Amino acid sequence: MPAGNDKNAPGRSGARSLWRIFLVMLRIGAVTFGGGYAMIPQMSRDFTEKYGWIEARDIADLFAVAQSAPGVIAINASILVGYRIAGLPGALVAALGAILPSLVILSAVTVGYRAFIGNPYVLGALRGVRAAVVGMLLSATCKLAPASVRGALGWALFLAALGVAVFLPQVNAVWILLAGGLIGVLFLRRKGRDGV
Amino acid sequence: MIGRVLQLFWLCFRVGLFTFGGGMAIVPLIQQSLVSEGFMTIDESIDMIAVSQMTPGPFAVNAATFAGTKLAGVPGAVAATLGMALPSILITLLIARFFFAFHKKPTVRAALDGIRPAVLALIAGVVWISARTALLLPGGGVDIWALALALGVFVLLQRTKVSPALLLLLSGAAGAALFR
Repeated sequence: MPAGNDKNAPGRSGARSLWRIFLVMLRIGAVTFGGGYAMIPQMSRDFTEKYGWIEARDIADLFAVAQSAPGVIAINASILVGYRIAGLPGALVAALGAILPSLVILSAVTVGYRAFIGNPYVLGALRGVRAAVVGMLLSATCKLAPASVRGALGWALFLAALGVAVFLPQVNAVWILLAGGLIGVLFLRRKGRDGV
Repeated sequence: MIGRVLQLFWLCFRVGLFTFGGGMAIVPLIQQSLVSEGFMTIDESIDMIAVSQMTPGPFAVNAATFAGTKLAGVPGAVAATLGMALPSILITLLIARFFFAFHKKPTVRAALDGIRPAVLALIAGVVWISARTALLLPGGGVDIWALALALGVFVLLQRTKVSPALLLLLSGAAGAALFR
């Protein structure tokens, strides 16, 4: 898809439009809780409704691509949106804007974490938080299940991978993912649908 | 120090390259790499998950920055974050430039249909690994309060729209009161 062919896009080379893309992503990265999946609706609102830099129909396509590509969804989405508006420079400033707040905030928080880890209240708080993380991850697993597993073979794959993850924890997770991908290519082709 | 910074970069690069699905999908990969290479205990990796969820921004970048800062200060944070971001940037730029419709290709869809159950299983595996350290007492036996907190958070997240970050924060307050 060619970059920057929207009539109302700010153009691919203007330093001012690059600066604006950067600022929009910087703000979204700094205030959005809930990771990439929460950032996408914000990006959609800002880039389509607020600034009209991208058509709503186009941005839905961009986000579908961002979610099927490997890597960090928020960065994938920033790259695609930035590229669409202003080419390679747009992509890079958008990604930088998405990353920078995390880098600053987490560096500060982690320094605090290291400094206060010996405090008995902090240790107590961490025990509570760690227990909560178990509940949170279990909930994430349940919520992801319907969209992740298709059919009996999907469930068989899930159970086999879970067995390896639990009973052979030394097996590198990458092999489990690659095996899943290979099995998918060999056995899970959808027949007669939307081939491109 | 330089060696450790490069190690972190490479570790996060691999994690970024093989993460499919975003969000929690990154957790099994980064936890396994950090713990197996001796960079973190399982407890610390659970703290990383919690802190990354409680702060704004992309979860994976937060986790990389946490690990990087903890292990090698600011240079570590920058290296880990760059490592995590680089596969995304390179692959997505290639897609944007050359094969935009790649996600509609039958082979790509089939591969993702096989990868997604594997990702889900790996996340479920993290639930198991985390539960064994977070819900058991050091001397053996189940930590009843921790189990109650975990179940409470699970039920609230399933039944209501309350934010996970807020629940983690409240669980921290409860923990400070209960466990100190």
